[in-house]
Amino acid sequence: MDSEENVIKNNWVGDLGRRTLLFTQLLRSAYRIGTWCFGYDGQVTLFNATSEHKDILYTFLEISGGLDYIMGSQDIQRPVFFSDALGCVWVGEWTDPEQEFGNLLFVLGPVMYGTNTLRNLDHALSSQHYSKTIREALLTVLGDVPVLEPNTFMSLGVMLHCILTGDEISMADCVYQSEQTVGRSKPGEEEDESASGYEQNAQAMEALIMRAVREGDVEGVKRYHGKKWLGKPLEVNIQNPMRDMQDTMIVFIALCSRAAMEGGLPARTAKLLEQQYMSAAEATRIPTALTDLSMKMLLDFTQRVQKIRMGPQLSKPIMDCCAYVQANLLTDLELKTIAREIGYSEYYLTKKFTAEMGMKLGEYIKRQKVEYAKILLAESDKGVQEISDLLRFSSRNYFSAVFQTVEGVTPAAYRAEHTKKGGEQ
Amino acid sequence: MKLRENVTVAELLRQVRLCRDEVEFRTPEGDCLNLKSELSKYLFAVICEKRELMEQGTLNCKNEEDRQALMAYFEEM
Repeated sequence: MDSEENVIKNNWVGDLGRRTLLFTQLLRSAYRIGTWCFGYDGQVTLFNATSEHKDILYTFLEISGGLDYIMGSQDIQRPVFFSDALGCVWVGEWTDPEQEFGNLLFVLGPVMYGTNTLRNLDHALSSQHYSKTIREALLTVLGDVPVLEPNTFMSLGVMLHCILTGDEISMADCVYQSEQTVGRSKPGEEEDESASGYEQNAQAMEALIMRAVREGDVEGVKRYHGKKWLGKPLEVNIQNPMRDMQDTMIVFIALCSRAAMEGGLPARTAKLLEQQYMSAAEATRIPTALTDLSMKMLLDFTQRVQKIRMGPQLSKPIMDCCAYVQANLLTDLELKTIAREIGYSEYYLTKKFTAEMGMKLGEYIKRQKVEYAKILLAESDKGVQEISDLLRFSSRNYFSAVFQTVEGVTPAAYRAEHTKKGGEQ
Repeated sequence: MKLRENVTVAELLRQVRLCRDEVEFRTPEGDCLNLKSELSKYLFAVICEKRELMEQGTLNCKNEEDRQALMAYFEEM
C-alpha cells in the first residue's frame, strides 16, 4: 500500500498540466515571462509558447546553441540556466520520462539581468553603423524581454522544479551553464534604483555565508548561496554589467579566501585558490558561468576548511609542507627543496609526512596537481598538453595516466563532462 | 544571390558555420552582415522575419564551394 507521501506525490504528477498552466499564467501576469513547452521523441517539437515574438525568440534559442544545450541536459532533471550571446537568460527543466506525460521540456525566458544591456547593445549596433531599420528590428524584440534581478529569476527556476516534481530544492541545486561556445553580448549599464533594503539583506547574508565558510559548514553554504553576490553586482563600472558581476565575484572570492584562512586554511593555499578562481572569473563571458563558478569556489573553500577542522591534527611542519606544495604546483617540486624550505632532512620529512597524511609526499603532489588541472580543464581553454606542461608533468601521456588514476577518467573526458552540463565539480 | 522564401534561419546558419570563407548578407539599405559573426546572426534572424527586407537582400559567398553548399537556400534563377 502506498504511503501517504506517495499518494500525494502521484496526484501531484498526474496534475501536471493544470499546475504548469497556472504557473504560466502567473509568470505572464507578474513578470511578462514567456514559457515554452517542448516534446522530444527523437526530435524536438514545440508544443506551446506564451512568449511575445515567439518565432524570432525560438530562432534565437536555436542559433545561440541554447536549445542544443538544454537538449543535452535531459538526464539532469534540475533547473538548468543558460545564456545567449545577447545577454538573455533562460531556464529549462525536463520532466521525468518515466512519468505518464513522457519526455517534456519546460523553458522559462528569456529575461535580461539589467536594462542597460539593451542600451549598450543599441550603442554597439550604432557604433558598427548598422542601419536604423535593422537596429530597431532587433531592439524591438529585445525591448520586450523582461528585466529581472538574477535572484528573482533563479527563484523562478526553483519554483519550476517544484511545479514539475513536487520536490523542494534550493538555488544551489540548480545547474548553471559554464562557458560554452557562446559569443558575448555587448554590455550595458545597471539600473538606477534604490538598494538600501538590498544592501542590508546582503550584509546579513554575507555575514552568514562567511561564517559558514569559516566554520567549514558545507550545508550552510549550500543553503545561503545564491542569495548574496549575484543579487546586485557592485556598480563600479556602470557601462558594463558583466564587468560589474566579475568585479563583484572577485571581491567575493577575496572575502571567501579570508574567511577560509580564519577557519584554518593555510594562507598559501587560500591565496593560490584565490588566484585560480579570480583568473577563472576574469575569463568568464556569460552570467550563468559566473554563478556556476561562484558555487564551485564557495564549496571548494568550505570543504577544505571542513577537512582541516574535522581531519586529523597535522603538525605545523606538515601543514607548512602542504601549503608549500600547493603554492608551488607550477614549479619543479623537488623533495630536497621542500625539505630545505621546511627545515627537515629529506628522510625525516618523507617519514613524518606519510605518517600524518596517510600517503607519500609524491602521491600528495600528484593529487594536488590533478586538483589544479581540474580547475583549468573546466574553466579555461588551455589544451591538455599546455596544462601538462604548466604543471610540470614529464609528458602529456604521463599527465593523462596520473589524472585517470586519480579521477577515473581522462582529462579530455573530464573536460567534456564538466563543460557540457554546466559543471558540477 | 537572393534567398528563397521560408528559409529556416537556424538551419542556414548551421550550414554557414561549415563554410570555409565568409558569407555575407547585404540588405537594400547597405547593411553588410557577416553571418559567421555572433551579433550579425541575430540581426539576420530578425531580418528574415521581415519579408520585405529579406526579399530585397542578397547572400554573397566569397568561395565557390561555399556557394555550392548553400545552393539549396538560394532562389531559383
